Amino acid sequence: MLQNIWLKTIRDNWKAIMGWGVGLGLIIGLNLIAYAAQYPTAADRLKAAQALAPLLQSFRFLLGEPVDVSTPGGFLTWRIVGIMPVLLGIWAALSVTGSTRGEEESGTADLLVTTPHSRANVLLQKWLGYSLSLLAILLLAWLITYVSGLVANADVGSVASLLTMLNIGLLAWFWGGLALLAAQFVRSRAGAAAIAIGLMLFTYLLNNIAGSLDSTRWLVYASPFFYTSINKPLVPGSSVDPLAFSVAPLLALVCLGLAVALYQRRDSGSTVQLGTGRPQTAPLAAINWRERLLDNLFVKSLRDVRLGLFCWGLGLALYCGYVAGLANLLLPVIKSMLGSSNSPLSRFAGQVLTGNDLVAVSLFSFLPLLLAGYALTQVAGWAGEEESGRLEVTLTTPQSRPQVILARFGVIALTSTLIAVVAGLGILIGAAVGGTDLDGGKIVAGVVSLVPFILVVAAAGFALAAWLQRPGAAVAFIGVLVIVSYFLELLAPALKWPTFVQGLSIFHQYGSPARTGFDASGFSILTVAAVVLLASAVVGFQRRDIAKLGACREGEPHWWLPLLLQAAC
Amino acid sequence: MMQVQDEVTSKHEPQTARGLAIKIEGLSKFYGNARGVIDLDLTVAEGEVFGFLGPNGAGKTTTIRLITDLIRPTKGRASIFGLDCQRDSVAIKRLIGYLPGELALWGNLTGAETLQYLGNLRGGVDVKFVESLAQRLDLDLRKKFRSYSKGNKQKVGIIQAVMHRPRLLILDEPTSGLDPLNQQEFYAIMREAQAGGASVFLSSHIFEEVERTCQRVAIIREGRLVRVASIHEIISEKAHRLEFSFSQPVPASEFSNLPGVTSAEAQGNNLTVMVQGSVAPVVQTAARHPLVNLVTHEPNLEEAFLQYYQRSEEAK
Repeated sequence: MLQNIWLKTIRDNWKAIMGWGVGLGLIIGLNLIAYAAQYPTAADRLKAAQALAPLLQSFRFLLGEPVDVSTPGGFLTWRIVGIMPVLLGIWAALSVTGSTRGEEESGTADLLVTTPHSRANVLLQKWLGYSLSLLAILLLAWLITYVSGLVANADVGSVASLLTMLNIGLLAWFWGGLALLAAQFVRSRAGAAAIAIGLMLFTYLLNNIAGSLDSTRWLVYASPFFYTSINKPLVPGSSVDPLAFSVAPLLALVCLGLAVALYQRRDSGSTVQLGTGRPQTAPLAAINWRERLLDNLFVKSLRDVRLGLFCWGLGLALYCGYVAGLANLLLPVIKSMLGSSNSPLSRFAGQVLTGNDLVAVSLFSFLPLLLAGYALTQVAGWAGEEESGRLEVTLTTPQSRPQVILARFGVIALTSTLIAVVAGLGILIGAAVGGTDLDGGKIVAGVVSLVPFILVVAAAGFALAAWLQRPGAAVAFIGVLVIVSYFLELLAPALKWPTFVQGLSIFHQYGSPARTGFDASGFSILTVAAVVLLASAVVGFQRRDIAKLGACREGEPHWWLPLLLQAAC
Repeated sequence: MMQVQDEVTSKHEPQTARGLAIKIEGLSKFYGNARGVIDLDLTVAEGEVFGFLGPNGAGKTTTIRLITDLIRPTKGRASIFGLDCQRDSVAIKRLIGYLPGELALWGNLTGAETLQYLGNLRGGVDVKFVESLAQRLDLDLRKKFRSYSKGNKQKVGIIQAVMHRPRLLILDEPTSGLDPLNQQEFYAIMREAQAGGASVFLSSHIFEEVERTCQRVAIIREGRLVRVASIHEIISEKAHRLEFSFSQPVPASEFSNLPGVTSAEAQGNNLTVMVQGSVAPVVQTAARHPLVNLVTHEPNLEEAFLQYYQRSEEAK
């Protein structure tokens, strides 16, 4: 696997191939099994399709054009296939930028381009490695999907499922290409990935939202998702449009061609110079020796997370406001759906009688999971600080170790509170604009209870990072625990597990305060757990040998990400 | 905001025992079953420049990370200015300046921001002094740390280690990546620090650097200290090499039994004698013969070091 660049790229990706391949396969397979178990006969499926019809229409802005869901393939197409290119696109953007711009950041690219390979050759080999890795992920996911269908007696057809995977994969391939192109213009790997992922999310929503209104339907042609959504191989009787199939790969090749051309012309480790190329530096006298955000550990940590804080806050506020604003419109549809069918949704959602109920179900059952993701990014940042060696110089200044860890954790506590408050404000403003009736007290309870929830996840991550030899491993451990905890809360009632088992889930302890009001016991349990875990983190950090593992593998595409994203969906 | 150092350090400076800058007693570190360092005993006097020599993986960085409290000893203890390295860790860090062997700082901060932040964590430093150091080392503080070359990154590391005028400098390969001109400037900065009363603990692979700057050195091998002595002592242990040319053959046996002679080999009119210690008896004996030429090779630290390791390898 070290014979050439493309094999080395696949070698670097093998964990991601297994994680994403199995993860995506399981997501599709479990949906298929759940569908087949809930609606075992054709009559059940037809009845369910009729019941779901209004919901499909109402949620087209999120889940795309409605299709006939009376077949397993149709259900999968509506429920999960549309979002798959987004999930896989995230991996594609992270993977491509990691092996190209990431290597330029770490300096290893300099070594590669000084071997007897042209720059075009280096980049194309990396692209080949990425493409084959993507293919391996798709084949794994296809195998699991197909076998799941056979096991659940809900066969979706081997060719149809293979074509579906190809359709998903080609769009993800394009997002990788766009990330590669973006990496020619920005110096950081994270920046290039963020551009590609941001554009992907924008065009995904553009396709779904603009497509649901006659006046804006023309906009969908600007979204690559539109062309991918034309082909629905899993829907029985649908035909394959080769032209639509070829749009994503053609765009990917254009991006690749441009990226190769630009990479050959620019400086290694630098970016394409759009201006005069002269370095712009401030005059010496302009050095600001009084930058307040460098005064101490706390404000420096705050400075480090300010961009992330802004993105999370703005994103959540907009999303929460959007959903809360729509709740009034969706309420009659949801009410009739839950009243007219014996769908599993009613088992999880319970009774939805008011706009407040709908906001509680649609937002507050999902916000904790999303914010657990925020906590995980903070744990990853903390672990990276140690693994990269940056903590070493900090710890040789007159700061005690408890001061260092508590300052960092304090920033998480502050930013978590800010994010929760901003999300709450988004809900209240959205509801006011959309005319949704909310119970202000309960919404505040839901928002306030988010804070100890996030802190438990962060404190658990810090504690594990303090006690594990390699602090970065804490991110994966806690990621798995969050996912298990989420599914425990989701499945325990349906599987009739004992109450104490369900009580082990932090999601259970969070409860549903936005619906039932402030839960003092759950809040106290989470707060005490956060304090105990933080104390353990401080003790562990005080005792540990500071690790130094060389260059930090920041932003490595984690295998648990698809599961977390799917759980959020 | 950066403050003037004198205002702050005078307030924080602890009462410490005078005499020893570093005292290491029976210090051991194991990583599971893997060896770090074993039973180190070492002292560094206040005001002394002390060299720490050893090949890669010998335990130099482990020792430095132990005394800076980045890692914890399996047994033994270390103190700096009489303060326990673990118990009084924070107080010690007010007195030291540290330059790691592999410097990692924040790529998104400029050189000025990096120094400002670390200065603030130290309670404030004299901005004028920082700017003068940057000027002497020809470092542009306006650039982002990630965009610096290796040598410029090292300059930021050097400045952050000395900018608060510490009483003890702990430097791991300080001139790594510096060009000769900047190396000279660094030596000047170090001399000034020493003249101001600072002690220096210097780990280096550059023998010339250690030989010209250090008073004493410790040699570490496979985690154990094998020698602690003054530079002069170590060099004098190394045999001088004297190459004589005579106008006629001279028997080697006449020299081999002289005091300090470790070997004597004759080849035609030439004679090579290895001498440890004083060369006077050999020169006097040679003077009795028709001497045409004499070439002497002064031993240096590098030869002494290599000889030490060859001896150790042979003993294994």
